[in-house]
Amino acid sequence: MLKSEWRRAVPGTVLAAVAALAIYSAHGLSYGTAAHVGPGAIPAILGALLFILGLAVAAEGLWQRPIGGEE
Amino acid sequence: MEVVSGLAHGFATLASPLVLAACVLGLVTGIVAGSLPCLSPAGALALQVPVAVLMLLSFGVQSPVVFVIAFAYGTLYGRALAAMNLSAPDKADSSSLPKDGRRILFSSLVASIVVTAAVGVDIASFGRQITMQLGPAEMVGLMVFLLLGGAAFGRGSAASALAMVVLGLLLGLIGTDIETGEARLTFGIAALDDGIGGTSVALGLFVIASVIDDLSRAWPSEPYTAPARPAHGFWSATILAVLAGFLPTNGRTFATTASAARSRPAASLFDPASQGSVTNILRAAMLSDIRLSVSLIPVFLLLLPVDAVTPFLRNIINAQAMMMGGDNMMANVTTIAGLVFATLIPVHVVPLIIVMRLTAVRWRPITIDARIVALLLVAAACFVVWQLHDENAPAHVCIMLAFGLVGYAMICAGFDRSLLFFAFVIAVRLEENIRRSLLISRGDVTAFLQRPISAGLLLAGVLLFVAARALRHRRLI
Repeated sequence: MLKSEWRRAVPGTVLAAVAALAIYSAHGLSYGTAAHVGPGAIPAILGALLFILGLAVAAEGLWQRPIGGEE
Repeated sequence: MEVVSGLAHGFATLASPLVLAACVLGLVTGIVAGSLPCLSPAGALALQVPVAVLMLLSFGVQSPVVFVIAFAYGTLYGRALAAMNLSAPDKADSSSLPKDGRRILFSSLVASIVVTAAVGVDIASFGRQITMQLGPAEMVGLMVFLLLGGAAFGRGSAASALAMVVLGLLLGLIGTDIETGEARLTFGIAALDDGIGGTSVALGLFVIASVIDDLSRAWPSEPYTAPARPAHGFWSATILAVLAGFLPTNGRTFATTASAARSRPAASLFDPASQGSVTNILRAAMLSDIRLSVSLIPVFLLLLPVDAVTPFLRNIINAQAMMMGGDNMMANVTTIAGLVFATLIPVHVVPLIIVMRLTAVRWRPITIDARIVALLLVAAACFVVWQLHDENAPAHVCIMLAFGLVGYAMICAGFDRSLLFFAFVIAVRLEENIRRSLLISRGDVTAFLQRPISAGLLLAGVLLFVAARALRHRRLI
């Protein structure tokens, strides 16, 4: 079983994994140019952003106590 | 004069038997759906989509929007009824009700007047003239402002709220690229070529996930006492509700079931289900009502959903405007605006009278077996998705169920489902406007900061996000 701190890092890690999958999928598409943005550019940028945010959420889970409470 | 004629036309349309029947049906079904266990108002709105389509076919072209508006307000007051039912009304402090009841009725009427006046301005084309000036860069600024505004008040930490926005945008981009025709993020799955349907995502996130969550939580058997929360004055709370209506804040309340709301560590000012006493339930219902009414203003001005609730309204407005025919779709939208704000009067007043009358009588709390309701809701959600997709229906049902599991995982992880859904809904339009504005500026990425409205909106979004998160960190809001 995972320790509780590590368990709290799971959601962020999953987000980072989803982001990595999105970047991988967008990699095969054209990024285009700044003026003619290709179909792969925005998914790749969003994937990179999500990867960073996923890591931030995972780090938060590791170092912070949960705010607590359901919706 | 346009204001008066628009509203007069709205009232005349509302007075026709079929449209009035759609209004009554929307209210009744909304109240019933809002008071059911395991069903959030957003989930109920997602489930009513085929009924609204049926309205279009059976009750005439003017009926769907009336039905949806009445249904949305009905769910709100149904939620208040469910909260009163769970709060053991026979023990409520009924002595303070007449005074508060008058205040609530007055505030509700103020909300109607504010919204009607604002849309009156819209009907007079003032707002439309401003919004017609918005280019793609300004639309990007506006959408980023809305997303940051949603993340500012969304559930969970700042990073997790932003992550939900980005994840929603990514999911919204799944499917075939409009400009190049290339499949994106589909991983070779044919059912994803046309993208993921908004209704499938909404049903998964707001119905299936809520069903799993509610069944995994013990239904409260004791009378509920709301956790303490700093009290707001009457007018300050009303002003807060009006301001909140312009920001994507409806989703958080509408995405939560009554049972989930009652497990919160603190009561929400805008959520009747999170309140304990009948007076506070009525007050929260009224504030939530004002917030929803105000959020209709940007929907009509921009034809853009502004939170997780308004996509359902926007879609039906668009569909009805197209079905009405003619060359000028904007004129159709203006006609619909008049009809909607004529509809707002009965849908404000009738449920309010019902709820206030019920506060005056004593009744035994009604218990509904959540397991039976849950089973029916899952079956209804599967049926709706099956009906909405002619091709690959089983695959779309599986996608909906997968989103249900994802939604439940998000609830467990403390992520905001309504933020994800809102971002999902506007993703394609945001990307389209980014591409268009970059094409116009010949690849100059600073174009968004060079145009005053766009730069102002982006700056306002960032400031709002930082300020709201700082205040939340200090527990001031």
